[in-house]
Amino acid sequence: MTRRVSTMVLVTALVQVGPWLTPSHSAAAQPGTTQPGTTQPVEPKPAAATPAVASSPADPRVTESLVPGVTVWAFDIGERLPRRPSIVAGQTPNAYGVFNSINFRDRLDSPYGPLEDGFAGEVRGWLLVDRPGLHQFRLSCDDGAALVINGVTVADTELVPQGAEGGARFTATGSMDLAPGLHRISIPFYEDQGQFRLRLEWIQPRENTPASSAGEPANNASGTNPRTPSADAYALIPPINLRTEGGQTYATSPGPKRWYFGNDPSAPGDGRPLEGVHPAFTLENFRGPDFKPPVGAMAFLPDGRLAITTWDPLGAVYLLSNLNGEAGDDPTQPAGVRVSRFAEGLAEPLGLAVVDGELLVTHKHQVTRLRDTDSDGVADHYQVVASGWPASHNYHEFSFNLVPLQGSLYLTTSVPLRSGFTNYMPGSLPAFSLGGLALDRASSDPLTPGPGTLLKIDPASGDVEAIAAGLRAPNGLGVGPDGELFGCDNQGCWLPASRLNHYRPGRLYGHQTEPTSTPGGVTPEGESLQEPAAAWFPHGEIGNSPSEPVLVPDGIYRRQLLVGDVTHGGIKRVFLERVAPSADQLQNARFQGAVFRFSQGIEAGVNRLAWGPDGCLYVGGIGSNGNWNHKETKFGLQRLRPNANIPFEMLSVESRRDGFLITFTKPVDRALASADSSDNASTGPTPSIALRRWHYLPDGNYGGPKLDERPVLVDRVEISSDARQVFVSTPELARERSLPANTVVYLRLRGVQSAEGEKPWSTEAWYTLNAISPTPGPAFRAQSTGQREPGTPTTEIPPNAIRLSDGTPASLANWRHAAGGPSQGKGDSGPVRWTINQRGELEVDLASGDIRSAESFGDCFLHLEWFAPHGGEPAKQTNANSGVKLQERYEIQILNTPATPHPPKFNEAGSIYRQTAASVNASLGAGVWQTYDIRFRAPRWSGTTKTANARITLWWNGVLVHDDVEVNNKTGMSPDEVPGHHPLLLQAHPTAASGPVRFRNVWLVRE
Amino acid sequence: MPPTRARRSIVVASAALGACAVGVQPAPAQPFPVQPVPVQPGDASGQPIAPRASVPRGRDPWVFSCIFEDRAGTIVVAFGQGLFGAFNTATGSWSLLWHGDIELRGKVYDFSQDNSRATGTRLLEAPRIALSLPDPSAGSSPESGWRFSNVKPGPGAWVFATDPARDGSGEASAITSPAFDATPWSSLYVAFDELSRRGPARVEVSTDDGESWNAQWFHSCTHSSKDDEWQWNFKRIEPRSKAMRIRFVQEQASFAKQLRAIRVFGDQPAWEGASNTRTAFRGYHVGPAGSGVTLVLDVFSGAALPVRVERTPDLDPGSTPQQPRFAERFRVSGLRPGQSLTLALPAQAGTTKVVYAATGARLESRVMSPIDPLGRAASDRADQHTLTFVNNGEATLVAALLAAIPEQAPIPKQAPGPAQTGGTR
Repeated sequence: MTRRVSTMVLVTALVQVGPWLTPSHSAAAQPGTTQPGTTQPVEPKPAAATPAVASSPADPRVTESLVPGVTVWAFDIGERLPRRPSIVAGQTPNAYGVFNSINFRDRLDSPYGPLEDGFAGEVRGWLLVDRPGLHQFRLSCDDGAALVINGVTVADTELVPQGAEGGARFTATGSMDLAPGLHRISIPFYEDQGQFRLRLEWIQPRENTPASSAGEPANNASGTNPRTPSADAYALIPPINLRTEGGQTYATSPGPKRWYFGNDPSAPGDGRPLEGVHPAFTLENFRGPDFKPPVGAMAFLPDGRLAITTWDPLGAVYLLSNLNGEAGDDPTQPAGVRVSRFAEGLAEPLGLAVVDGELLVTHKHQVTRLRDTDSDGVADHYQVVASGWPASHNYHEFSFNLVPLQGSLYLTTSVPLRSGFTNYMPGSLPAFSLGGLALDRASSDPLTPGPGTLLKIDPASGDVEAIAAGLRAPNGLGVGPDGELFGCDNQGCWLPASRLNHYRPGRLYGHQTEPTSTPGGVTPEGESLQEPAAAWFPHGEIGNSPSEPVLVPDGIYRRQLLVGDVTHGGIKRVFLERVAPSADQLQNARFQGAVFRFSQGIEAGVNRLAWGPDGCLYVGGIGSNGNWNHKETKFGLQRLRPNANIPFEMLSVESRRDGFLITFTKPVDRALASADSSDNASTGPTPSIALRRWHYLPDGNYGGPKLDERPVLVDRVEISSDARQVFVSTPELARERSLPANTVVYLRLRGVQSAEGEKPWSTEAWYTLNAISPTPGPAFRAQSTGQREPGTPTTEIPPNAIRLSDGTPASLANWRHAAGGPSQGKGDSGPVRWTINQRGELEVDLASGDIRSAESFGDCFLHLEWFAPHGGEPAKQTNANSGVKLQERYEIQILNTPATPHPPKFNEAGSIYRQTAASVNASLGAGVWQTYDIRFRAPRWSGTTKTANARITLWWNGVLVHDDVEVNNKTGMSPDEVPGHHPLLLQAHPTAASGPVRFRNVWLVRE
Repeated sequence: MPPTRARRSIVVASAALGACAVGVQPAPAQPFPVQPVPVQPGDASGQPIAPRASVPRGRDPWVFSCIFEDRAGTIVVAFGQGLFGAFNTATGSWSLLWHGDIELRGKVYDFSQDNSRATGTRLLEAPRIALSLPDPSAGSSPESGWRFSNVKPGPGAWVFATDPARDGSGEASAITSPAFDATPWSSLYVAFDELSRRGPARVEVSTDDGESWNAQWFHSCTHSSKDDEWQWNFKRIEPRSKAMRIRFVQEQASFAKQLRAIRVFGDQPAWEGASNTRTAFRGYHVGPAGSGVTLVLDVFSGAALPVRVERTPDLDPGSTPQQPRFAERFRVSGLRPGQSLTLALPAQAGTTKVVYAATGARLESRVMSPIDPLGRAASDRADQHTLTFVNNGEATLVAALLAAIPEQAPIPKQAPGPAQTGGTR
């Protein structure tokens, strides 16, 4: 893409910017946190909006490992980009790389294919300045970029005025007085179309130019800078003057990312990660400022001391006593937490358990018992309990966890990887005697204790037995509500998202070595050995690297699991239920359930959780280089002390034969179910609960996209007599005959509040639907207000449907161009020039104008799905404007109307254009597929006299927003009303959005 | 010096630059420290929490587990005076004694996909390399015993032909190892680095001197997204025979595949008993304040109950940094009358000369295996020493080590191995 640039001088004040990827998100202490030892509230810190040098101490490990070059992250946007987008927090990039210089001229490679158009990213690193003085910078690109040094914006091409003559590329210059040494640089950029070009050049100050003189104000009365060098003096910054972290490992994942322009349409806990500490807990700092452990594991000794291991070169075990600052027995010891090193020299200790009062540690290749035989407070005996499983130096090979259960010990091993993929090819023999994953393995073959297995250890004999396999990076193991073994695994090849596993002997859990085939293995009875996930953690939404699950022992969340997450950060909450596929298969009941956001505000990514004898939840943090961390933090140890507060939120989501039963922590406002959807649009309620569904199909590629993602129609929302439960009726699921494996249903509250007006702490839940419960929904019918009419539309295509656009190029023959230009709807000008893209979507072609169906219709039921990309100006109606006109005359508006609880206007999405606004805003926002299901009753005529107006009923994303609404006349500039059948029209309206509006699954049934 | 945030001010860039400028005129921004903070593997706290009484061995911790030179479960001991030992828990014996330092690599050290290694002077070393193919260098001669079909030496790597038909042979491009005896090895791995993203190499194992190639095979890993990224391959070799060969075959000739650092390595048993001898490492004890370490193992031989062996290594009192003397006390229990156990001591490495002395056990020497995987001339080979235990109780061993040890620290560190960065979680 090229745009003209101006040569005029722009004078601007210094611009302070925040971290580009985490706008307005801060890990700063939250209200309610407490100071080390004293348990006094911590003063909330201001948001860390400006990571200036002073606030960015160089981590010694990082500083030492700097290498020449810069690191680039890039996120696939999937749309055209007129300006720099913001990436929704918590997502991993599609690509990263280390480059010698900042001089890009083509594209970026990623493990999932090249990024050529429609992506955004950031160049990160340090600038090594040789001599002091004023440094001049010139930043060039073909779309947009900014140069940020030490948190200060020095140049920004988006601030370059347009309209004047200039070069063929965007260029911005700036200067900064720099002292010798390392200065952090960041270049956020975006790529719209064409070759990706990005170049940073500089002019260093002349030698012997003192910083003080170089720092003189450069602008004089004439507005010129006598010391400004010529443009020819700019030179590419050589690699020797660029530094970045060496040995980085970045988590990446495929698929377009979530993003937005301008203000973030989401809010903490509502479309993006939480920011604060869960209200039911008070965060306490207790470790002391000088103790900075990257916590590998935690356990409590019988005497109340906390033992932790550190995932660092020391490989230590520390004992922390006096955790609550109580007076110790030894009056010579100071008050407050005391920390002592108990052991060291363990290789990546990531599991810890107390068995018979003694500490046992899992490290790289061994479980070791630590004994202090001379009672000097330091372990002197390091006894082997068990060993023998393979361990290599591969960066992805870990031994995780140590859970004692019924006399045995359990741990898990991860698989070695290369670039995110399995690092071993099975060939004729598996690597490291890897067991359980060969496709031709008989179910009777024993599993062998190799990578990717759950190991059971007899602590007396040291015997090691693999009892489950197919694991990838199973960091986290815990015990469920009835003594079951649960553990988390991390997304990768064969794992389309991170998952919570319920471990059963002899079962496989998804990952395998074979790069192309489908997972195999069946029991003699023909049952698959592949065990479904008890819960999926959709990547970038509710988890990236889930870690240790712990059971909540009491309180309102009793019998639920809390799960840490290292890179997504914070703690998630999991409600589980056992569901059988049918009433006569109760023996086949499996765990499934919902994942909720629970808490953020922790000082580091959460690796380990442990309940203390004081009732607090102790939280151990960890992180590493690259983006194996949460907000670049690498250590942490805090605790969450329960308080008396209970926030309003979903407590559980349960499957029912005909929907979902949601239980809340507090009574809900009955308005969510009692509102009459035919109320005046301006005062109508927001739709209460929106559902979407998709499923995963594991394969050998890293991660996996959501397949067949679509809204789930909700025909009723009913409320219990005590207002603590809400039943969401979903006829689509009730009719489901064959549920795709790995199905996830996403629930989002919209405008729901408690009876006392409290907004939910978090609005979202991700329910893993392995089986639809045979139990029908509760008998809340008496309270039902019947928001939905009988005959609710379905996404199942009826056999008599006319499929106007089914994703095939051949379906273009069902359409003709409407002559007379866009939106004129006149005449018929032949085959359409709209296109079916590679994803089978019908794309609006503005140049060729509206299209109309080849057939004409009268009364009908119409289903269509549409996608309105980000961008454009709502005030000018250029925000992804399109529409569907029934009989070419009655338009239902299409726009990227934000998903806010505010009532929509009469010209926004869902409206009968400029006649009747949607009764509620059921929009899912920009850049999301949405559905219209329309029942249309054509006007009635007697000769040429209209005897009855047209009537429209519209379900927008399953929400009834027009209920048999009378349409008095044509909408907008449509043709005048006349008798007869007429075509359906799809509108090509001028738009300034980032891409064309698209349609899919357009079908119609005559009625 | 604390960094200073830039002052807010305004600067105007020249219109002659043909571009717009966003200028700032700050006070000189201060950098991060130019001098990197020295990092020792140490306390996570950054501050000593409960300071140990002393660090007499020169590093903290002085006994630790790590993956060392491709061996998982190695216990490294820093004895002091720059003398280090790497104890192989799989064999119950020292895999390496060296003078110098340790270069720590891997996740918790530098997050590389590499492992830790010795730097300095290698003194005593157990057999490790079964077979290796040196990377080609300028002027190097073809490797003895290795066969190259459509493979040419390139700069630092072996380059497979893109079109085997061009040289008239029509054969697939391949590198074939010489025959070697794999029976002495208790564990064996093949490893190599590969430059290719367009089709893997097929690695084949023959147990009959190349008559057939189906004893074991696997494909290399080629998931790199870059043409210039070297990839690490590492695979356990299961079959054993006296006439093993390994072959690296290019299956797809559309890309100039390159291999380097081809090696076959593993462990040989160190303990020898009546029959079917194996060891089980039981752990170690450390004395207070770094005063000593005792390594504990059980040696099984035949169907007999295990013999408990406790090994307490340390510097000999007469040791100096320039003339290190390594001492080890053995405590043996569980030997039955008439039963004996023999421990193969690590061989002299490089130009090191060792003089052993022992009490309580029989010190002997024997000629090394005629198979010399390191390719040394016969005159350079040293006899292998063994220590045979016939009685329960204590025994001692002292090794006086004569080697060209640099007089002054620091010991130059080896260059890092092949770049192994990258990956996704």
